[in-house]
This record gives sequence, structure tokens and C-alpha cells, in this order.
Amino acid sequence: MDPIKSIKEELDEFDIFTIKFTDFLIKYTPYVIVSGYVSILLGKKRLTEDIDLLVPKTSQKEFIILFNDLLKEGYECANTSIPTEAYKMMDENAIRFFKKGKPTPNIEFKLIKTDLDKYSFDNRRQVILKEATLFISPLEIQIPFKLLLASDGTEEELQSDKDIEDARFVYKLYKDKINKEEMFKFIDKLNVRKKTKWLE
Amino acid sequence: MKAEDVKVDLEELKEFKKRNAQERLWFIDFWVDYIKKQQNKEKA
Repeated sequence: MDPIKSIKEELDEFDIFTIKFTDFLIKYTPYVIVSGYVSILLGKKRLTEDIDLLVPKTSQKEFIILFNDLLKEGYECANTSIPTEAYKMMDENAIRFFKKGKPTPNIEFKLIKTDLDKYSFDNRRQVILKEATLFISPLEIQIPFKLLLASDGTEEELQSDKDIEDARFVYKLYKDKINKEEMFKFIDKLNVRKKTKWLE
Repeated sequence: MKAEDVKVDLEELKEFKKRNAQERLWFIDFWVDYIKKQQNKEKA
């Protein structure tokens, strides 16, 4: 499948932070970026504090090497400075990495656990952002997942919901390239068909 | 993995949304504490 070319013209602080982190990470493990930052990476302008990233589970030994090398590279883990603790924590929660002295932006580092995670990872798409290459979840799952994350509030609340806006932006921008049959499979699996009216 | 093989547990996803919100709140507390500690260091 052809890589997606981001429409972004200028790299911002978040992009530079993410590119540096993922360029470092890829030497240790493959990854996939999911959730809010995907739409930002593709060109949507909005604020965020974190970049959600999924990685396959590695051995504790491999994780400790990565963790210690991240610290040496000037990153700090918000949850703990002890690698064995971080490794255990990841079975339950995400852990966050940021550049020492600057808690935002940060990487929310999560293990692949559910089938949705596995699908996102197995079918990750390459994105070209200027000179950099990053990997994001397929748009066919990204859009339904953002609809799921949107609140179950009133019409007015949904109209200004950031997750609805993200889903709509990605859908409208890549409408012709999205495999709609595949996307609707996820829309039904996630039970968000009612929210699809916000896409058009 | 293909789309048709993906199993989704909607209850588990509700829990995920709750946990995600809690983690965000935890991070905001961490962030504020971190900034305050830095400010105190600078003052000292």
C-alpha cells in the first residue's frame, strides 16, 4: 500500500518531538501511532499534550535496555524511574516519556493488547511528513475509533467534540482513499453507526 | 489480522474510556507537581 503523504507544510514542536522519539524507538521495536495525534500528523490544527503509541510486548531484558537508553537520550518516564517497575506497569497502564524538564509533549507508551490494537499494528500505514516516515493506525479503524471516543452527550456537545472533529477531518481529507467497506465493519463492531452522521 | 477476525468487547471499551480519562487526570496532577518542583528549584 502506498504511503500517506501528510498535507502539513511546517513541522511543529510535536512533530519534531515525535519524529525524534520514533526514530530512536525504531532501533528497538516497531510501533504504531494511534488516536489524536494521527489527525494532527495528517494536518489538522489542534492542541494535544500526548502522542499515543502502541508497541508489541518484549522481554523484560529488552525493555530494560530500551528504557535505560531512553533515559540516556534525555527522556524521563513520568510513572517511574525504575525500569522493572515500568515493565510491570505496562501490563495494566500506559507509561509516559517526555524530554527531561518538559512534561509536554509526551509519548503515551502502551502495549498491544486487544484485537483492535493488533489490527492497527498489523495494518499500520506509513506516513510521509517532510523528510520523516512515521507509522499510524489504518484510517479505516482510526475514524470509527475516534467516533467511539467522542462523548455520548447532546447534539450540541458532540458538535464541538474534538474526537468528532478528528474523525471528520480524516474522513473528509482521505474519503477517496479509504476502504469504506472495511471502515463500516469497524463502525458496526464499535457500535458507532449513529455518530457517522457527523462525518458528512 | 483481518477486520473480520477482530473481536470487540464493548464493555471492555467502556472501561478503556474510563481508564483513559483517569490516566489523563493523573498526568495533569503529575504535570502541575513537576512544574511546581521546577519553580521551587529555581527559587532555591
